[in-house]
Amino acid sequence: MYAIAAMLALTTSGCATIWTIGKVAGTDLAPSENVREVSVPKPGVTERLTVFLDGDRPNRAPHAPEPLVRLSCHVDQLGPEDLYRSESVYASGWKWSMLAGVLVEGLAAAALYASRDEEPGAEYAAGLFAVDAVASAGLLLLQPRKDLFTHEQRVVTTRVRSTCPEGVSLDIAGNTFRVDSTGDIGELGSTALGEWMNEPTGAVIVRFETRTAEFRIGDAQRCEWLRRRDPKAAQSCVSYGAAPMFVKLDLPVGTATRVVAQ
Amino acid sequence: MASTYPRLFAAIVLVSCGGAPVHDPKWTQPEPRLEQHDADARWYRALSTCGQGPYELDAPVTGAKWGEEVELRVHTPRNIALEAIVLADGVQVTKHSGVFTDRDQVSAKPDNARCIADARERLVLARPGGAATGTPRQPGTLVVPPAPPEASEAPVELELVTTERPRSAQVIQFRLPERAAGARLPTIRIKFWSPEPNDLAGVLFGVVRVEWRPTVSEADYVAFLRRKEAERAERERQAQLAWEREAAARPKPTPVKVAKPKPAPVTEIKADPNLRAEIARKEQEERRRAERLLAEARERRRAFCAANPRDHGCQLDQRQADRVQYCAQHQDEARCWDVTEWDYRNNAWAEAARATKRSSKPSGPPPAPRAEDVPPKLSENAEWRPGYWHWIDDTWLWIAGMWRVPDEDIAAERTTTAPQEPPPLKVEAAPPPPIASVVWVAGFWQWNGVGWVWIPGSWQLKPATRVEWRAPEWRRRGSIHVLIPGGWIRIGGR
Repeated sequence: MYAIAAMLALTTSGCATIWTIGKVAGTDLAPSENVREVSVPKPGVTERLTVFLDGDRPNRAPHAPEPLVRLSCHVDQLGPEDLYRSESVYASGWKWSMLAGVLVEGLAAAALYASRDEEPGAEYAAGLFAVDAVASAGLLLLQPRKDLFTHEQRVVTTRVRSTCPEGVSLDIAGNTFRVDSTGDIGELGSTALGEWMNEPTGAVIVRFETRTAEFRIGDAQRCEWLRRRDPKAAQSCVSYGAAPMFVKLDLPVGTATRVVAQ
Repeated sequence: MASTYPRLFAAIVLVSCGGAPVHDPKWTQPEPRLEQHDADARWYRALSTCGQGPYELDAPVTGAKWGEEVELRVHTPRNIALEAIVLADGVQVTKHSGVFTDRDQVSAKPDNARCIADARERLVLARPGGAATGTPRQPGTLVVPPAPPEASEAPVELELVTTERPRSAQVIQFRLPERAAGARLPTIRIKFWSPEPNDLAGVLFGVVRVEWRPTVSEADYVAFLRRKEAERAERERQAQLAWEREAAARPKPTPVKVAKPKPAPVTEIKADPNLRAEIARKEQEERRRAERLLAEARERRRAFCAANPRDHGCQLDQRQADRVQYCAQHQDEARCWDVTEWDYRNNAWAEAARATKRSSKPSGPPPAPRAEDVPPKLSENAEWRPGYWHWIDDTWLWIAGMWRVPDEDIAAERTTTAPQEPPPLKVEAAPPPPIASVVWVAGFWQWNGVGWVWIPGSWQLKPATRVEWRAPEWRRRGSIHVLIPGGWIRIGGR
């Protein structure tokens, strides 16, 4: 019987006790009901193209001088918006569940009390449930409904696409290579980039529309790059702390997300 | 007891041997059947040690009575890559590709190291027609490989050889479809190639015509087929009779009466214009009523919200209206897109991605190889690696042939010797480099045994960091001049 009472206490009852503990701890355990949210976009959205340089291609083309390079692109839109939210607590759902809790606790208390002759001490457990049931009925069941309305300003980032938009190119030391939608810069581009990593001359720049952004590639990144392709050749260099190589281009909305008619 | 053992032994022998053999033709003679026979096999070899085709071989077909197949087979001492198609009257009917040994198809790389350029040799050709000034291009000008070559239809020739059938692997097979009596035989041609040149030393290609023939005489086989057909027909007849007998013996099930639902008088409705008009009028009324109820509900809501502007639901309704108004003016913003718009855009981007994606593998054969003038040999043991077409950035690029000079030949000065001093070096105008990091390897004079030949310069990739190109030079050794071929040398210590 103790086991049944303990199980009941853990699963369905103890409503008032648990709620009181939550209140003391500063948490309202009443779930939100009738939630409705409306987000209203606000002006000031920017589109951002992020291009990573070290998206490696795992399958190497046969007899290519070095593993071909695949960039990875994604386009996000960042913009402010207002989030309006209305919700209720201690509403009908709460009341029905509390009523069920009170009934279960009452039944448990009655059952325990009835078994007090066979199991000494059962009356104490019955008393505990009875007290909690009365408290639940008084405190929780009769808790007045509260309607809440909140307003929050936030900046949201929406991932729009994860392919390279048409027109992205990579400029390696003054030579520009087309980047296809999968981030492939072709064998010539890969070769040129491989050579650049060996002996950097000039800058590595991403071009899109009229915008450009230069990769910041330090010795550690170059070492990491070379080591991944030829561990033996890059034994002596230091790649500790090599951060990912990426650039971000802020664009007018729609530049990288428009649909180009084929 | 003593007489028991001989009796037992005799019994065992009789049981084991089974007594006198019973003649059963079913066990002694196999049934006639069709077997494959190599009716015609022609073997060819390539004229060059390295080659990638495209090669074409006609497959002779005769319209064999019992069926006919054509095969391309390859006998090769090493792995070679091949792609093959079969053309029937010029129309492709089947295609296959893979890497083959002389036993089977394998999943391995071809052994063609001596036929393809390594990083050191990959000559990146200058763009044709480029100005000879070497002026750097404007930033943002795309580097593109040379224009694709004119597709040449001329296949590369193969030489017919006389040989016993060697051990070989099947590359592609095509079974001729059955044709109507008197119909013309198709012209079958097998075309094959490889994206990279194969090492073709010792390689034989065979076009084999396989005929299906009966294992007995034709008359016997026809008789056998007729007998089989008669047996089959008899079996079917017996089965049909058995089924009919069984069906007759089976008690007939009591028919269950199922009341058919009375069909709706659709025809009456269709036929009666008054009834049709009545139905339409009722439907229209229902629609109007629903619209009126909706408008009333909206009006009630509007009135409620006017009276209770602080009501949370009313406030959210207003915000929703603000959102709709904003999104109507900002259709480029992703947060305003609904599921349909997202689907449309994702599909459009995926389509664009497919359209602009570079293809890593060519879809067809390379053009016919360019004719090359092999320059005089550079050293005693130098090996000529012929030029070939290389698939790069969605186009074929010609990688020029070159002599591979072993380091030992250079060390021992077993290189070309000339009886006289070479002329002064020519001043070459290098075309614009196709990519930034290539090195211009200048041309030089080579002695061909009779006179001096100018080997033009080319753009070349550096094989490693911290190396530089050492130009070839002629050194006087007594009365002769010895060529020290050019090469990459390491600079700056280790």
